[in-house]
Amino acid sequence: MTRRITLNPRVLWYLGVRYSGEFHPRPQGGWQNFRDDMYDSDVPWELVIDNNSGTYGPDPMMLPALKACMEYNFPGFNIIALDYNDSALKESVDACRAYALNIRGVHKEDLQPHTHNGEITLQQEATHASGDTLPPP
Amino acid sequence: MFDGPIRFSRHFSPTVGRLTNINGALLYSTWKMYIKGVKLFFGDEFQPWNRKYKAAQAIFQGSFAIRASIQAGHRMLYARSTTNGFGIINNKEDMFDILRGGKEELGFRSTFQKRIKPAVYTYIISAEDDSFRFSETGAAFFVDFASKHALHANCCESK
Repeated sequence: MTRRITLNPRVLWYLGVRYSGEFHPRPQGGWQNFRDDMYDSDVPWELVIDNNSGTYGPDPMMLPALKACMEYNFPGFNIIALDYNDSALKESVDACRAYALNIRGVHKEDLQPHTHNGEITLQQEATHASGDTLPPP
Repeated sequence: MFDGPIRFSRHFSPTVGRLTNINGALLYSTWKMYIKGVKLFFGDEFQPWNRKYKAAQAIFQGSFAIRASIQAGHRMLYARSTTNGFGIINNKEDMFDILRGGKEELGFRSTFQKRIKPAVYTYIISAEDDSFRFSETGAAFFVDFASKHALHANCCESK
């Protein structure tokens, strides 16, 4: 069962995270090998996962541990763990985004977080909410 | 080697086209999966915030207000809500469903939701509860936050 513990925020602040970064699914070998007249089930799938996180700068020496952990939890996928500056990662991400834009009609602006005029952002709401708890100056 | 089903929860973005106005809005999901074996594989290794990274310095050593807004944002992102979904991953098909954007859609404008999405996700594996938390890297709710990973991690003390 899930370990439900409450860590002291100071301990969490000190520990950080177990790992962090980005990941994307891809058909075996990459999205450049896929066509939309193929069924998803026609090909084996992979998860490409990395340590692309400036905030925590995860240690690349732990990529094998990350790979093993993902294999353990998602046994139906071939897991590929790459360092954020590995050129194979950039190629795979570029192919993924190109497929989204060119084949699936995803809008370019939707690849990056953005809002439209007049929309309230989570950050604005959060700042408003947390303002109530700010200590006196 | 598979340690049995993984429980997960799904949270819809609480911002951008509020839930009362979902038609035509692009909604994003945040997923939290209680994966297994984190201690087994990572042992005693944790990844503390990056002392050399400017945005991280601003969050962890900067003003109280920045940390407070990230914490509040985290609470909103993972808030209990009637629109939340829950489920169990038993096999790769269940994970395929999630990578298609989930079984039940709320107002997605993609017409390709039955296909595995060519999408990039931002993730963290939490030191708090071993959960694997992620959302699409392009999710609008990240706008103006100094760190996507800190928002997912709820990393910081505010006092």
